[in-house]
Order: sequence, then structure tokens, then C-alpha cells
Amino acid sequence: MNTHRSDQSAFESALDACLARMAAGATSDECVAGYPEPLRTEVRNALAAVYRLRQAGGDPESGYVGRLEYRLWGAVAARGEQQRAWLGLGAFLRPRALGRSMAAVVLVLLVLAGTGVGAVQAWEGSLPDSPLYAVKTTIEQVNVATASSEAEKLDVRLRQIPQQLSDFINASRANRPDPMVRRLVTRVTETLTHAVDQAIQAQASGDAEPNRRVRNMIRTLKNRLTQLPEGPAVVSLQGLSEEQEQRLPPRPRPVRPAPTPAAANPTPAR
Amino acid sequence: MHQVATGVASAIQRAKANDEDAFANLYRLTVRGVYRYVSLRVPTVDDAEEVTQEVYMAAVGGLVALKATNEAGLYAWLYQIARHKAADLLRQRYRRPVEPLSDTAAIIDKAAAPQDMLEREADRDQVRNALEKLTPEQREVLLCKYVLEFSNDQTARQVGKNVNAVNQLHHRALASLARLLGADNG
Repeated sequence: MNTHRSDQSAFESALDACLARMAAGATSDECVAGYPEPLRTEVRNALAAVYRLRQAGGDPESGYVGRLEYRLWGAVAARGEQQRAWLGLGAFLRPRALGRSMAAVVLVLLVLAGTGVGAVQAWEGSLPDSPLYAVKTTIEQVNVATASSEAEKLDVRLRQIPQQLSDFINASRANRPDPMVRRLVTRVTETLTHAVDQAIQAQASGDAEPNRRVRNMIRTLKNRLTQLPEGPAVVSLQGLSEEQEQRLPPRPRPVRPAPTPAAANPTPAR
Repeated sequence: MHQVATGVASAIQRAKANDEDAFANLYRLTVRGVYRYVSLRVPTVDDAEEVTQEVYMAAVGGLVALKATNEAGLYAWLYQIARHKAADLLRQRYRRPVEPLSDTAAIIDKAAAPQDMLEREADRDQVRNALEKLTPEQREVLLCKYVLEFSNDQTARQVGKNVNAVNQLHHRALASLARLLGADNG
């Protein structure tokens, strides 16, 4: 038992010493040269196994790392917004605050009634650093939620995507801070993901039209992105759009009518 | 080193408060290690990408419960999630084997890849198959020590054994892995 322990301890210390020397540039033969057999062979084999183990665990592709970062960014932002919404609702429902909150709602409605179309245009062009941006995203969600059918929901989403892309382009051109641009990438991607989900479901139940429309939208989106100066946000949005395109099922081939016997065996001309 | 530790502790706190940049920093710090671990547990690159994404999505959801305040603790937590997610995928694959179409796609990808990429892929498969033949404890010890670069103490905590037991496992695991890889080559 003691012999086994001392063997093991000798092996551990020889292996650690060799790994440290190899990290500094020595070869495995140089490292094991000073050890007696059978320890030398055992350590040499172990070093080869460690080397292959370390080599085999490949690094992720940089494009994948970037796309996942954007997706996580969106997930963290969404979690934050959800929590803030709950906190806001809690504050809104507190009896003492209720009067004040209602007054605020009435005030906003009055302002909107007074400014009419001007206010609508103001929030349409708003970016995440504007207080009106929250109004815009809420209206987007309400529009989807109040759509009467799946087809109408898809219509709404396909109308939202170009507007969301414009926001992204405006923010990129205006050199807005990176977090804001990322938030806009996430917004486009989320809407696109929902549209793709709908297209997948529709095709599973026999309707391939949403698939065609979503594919066209992705093609348009990608075309517009190729016209923009290349940067990390544009590259990520391109990658995320391609990922969504790949999720779409292949479109069913149009069924060609079977050739009629006359067409298949035309009567020879006389 | 102290600055890094303080940086990680503060990034964890800020990420818990939904600071997107802080979470992105933690992600960038750990993603390579997590991916490398996962890629040695699951069959394909697509699987590794899928599981890594699931790990971080789960991390976003569970971050509030994270007690760690340093890089080692953060890694240990992510490693636990990764271990479960990889096991889930393998169980799923065992019950529902991959459709032939995916195999064809993988072959097409490989055909288009340069020679060294093919060799790397073959080597990864060989190492992964050898790892699968070890006992789960031996496998985890090797992955913790050489892929996640955990210390002996950290590895012992992860596998729920004392350092002496881990050293024994490590010795046997390396001998078995060397034998299996040697047998594969021979």
C-alpha cells in the first residue's frame, strides 16, 4: 500500500514537473530523461494523453461566440425589463401610489390627444435612449397580442421588422453607444425568431405561405445588411438572420400535374 | 490577480442586477473553457454549440442564486450546469438517435474541410470515445484538471471526493486514457 502511494506520489510530482517544463518549451523526451524506468515510460505515456486531451477540446468559432453573446445580451436585457415591469406594476398597484399613477396615465392620454399624430411620429423614430422608446416597444407588443389570427400576427411582425431594422441602421449611423446597437440587434432577431416559429408551425399544419413570406423578408433583411459598412453588430445580425433562415423547413416542391396520356405519347404527325 | 478577482466579484454582482455588459464580460471570460469541456462530452460541433448556448441561457435564468464571488466559483457553477446539459443531450440521443440526414450533412461539411481540420475532427472523436470508456469519475477528474484547468482542490470539490482520492483517480484515469489512445493508434 505504502509502495503504491509512493509510486503514485512520484508519478504525480514527475508529471507536474514535466507539464511545467513543457509549458516553458521543453520536449517530452527532455522532461522524462531524468526519471528511472518504469516511471519514465509511464510519465511519457501520460504526457501524450494529456497533450491529446488538451488538443481535442477545440475552441468555439469566433462567429459563434459573437452571436451567442448577442443572444445572451438580449436574454439579460429581457430579464431586466421583465423585473422592472413587475416592480413598476407593484408600485402602480400600491394604494398610495394608485391615485398618482392614474393621474399620470390621464396626463399622458391628454398630451397624446393634444399632440396627436406628432406624438405618434415622435415615438416612431425614437431609439432606446429616449423615454418614448418604451412606448414604441409596448405598442409593438400590443399590436402583436391584439392580432386576431396567426396570419395577422405574422403580418404585424413582418411589418415591424423593416422598422426595427431602420432603428438599428439609424443608431449605427449615428454612432450610438454599443449597448444600444446591441439592444436593437436583439429586437430585430426576436421578432424574426417569432416569425420563423410561426412559419414552422404553419408549414407543419400544411400552409407553406408563411415560410415563403418569412424567407423573402430574411432575403430583404440580408440584402440591406450587405449595403451597410461591415462592423461587429452588422456581422452578428447577418449571422443571426442566417441562423433563422436555416431553421425554416425546406419549402414543399410544387406538385406538377401528371402528364396526360396524350401528352406523354403524342400522336405522330402524319 | 487581486484586481481580476475583484473584477469578477463586481461583474457577478452587476450581472445579478441585470447589467448586460457585466454578464457579457463573464461570458467572454468563461465561454472557451465551457465550450471545450462540452465539446469533449457531446458527439458533434453542432451539439457542442447547442449545449453551450443552453448552459449560458440557464445561467442567465439562475444567476440570482449564484453564491460564488470569484472566477473559480463561477467556473464551478457553469461546469455543473454544463455537466447536466451535456448528460441531458446524450440521454436524448440515446433514446432518439440522430436522423441519417444530419449524418449526410456532417459528411458534406467534412468533405469540404481542409485536411488538417479532418484530422483534428478524427482525433477529437478518438479522444471523446476513449473518455466515454473511462468511469464517470475518472472522466470528470481528467476534464476538470486538463480542460477546465482546475486545481487539485477544485477538482476534488467538483467530484465530491478528497484530494487523495482524486489523485488516485487521476493516476488510474491517465493510465487508462493513455492505454485506450495507444490501442486506438495501434
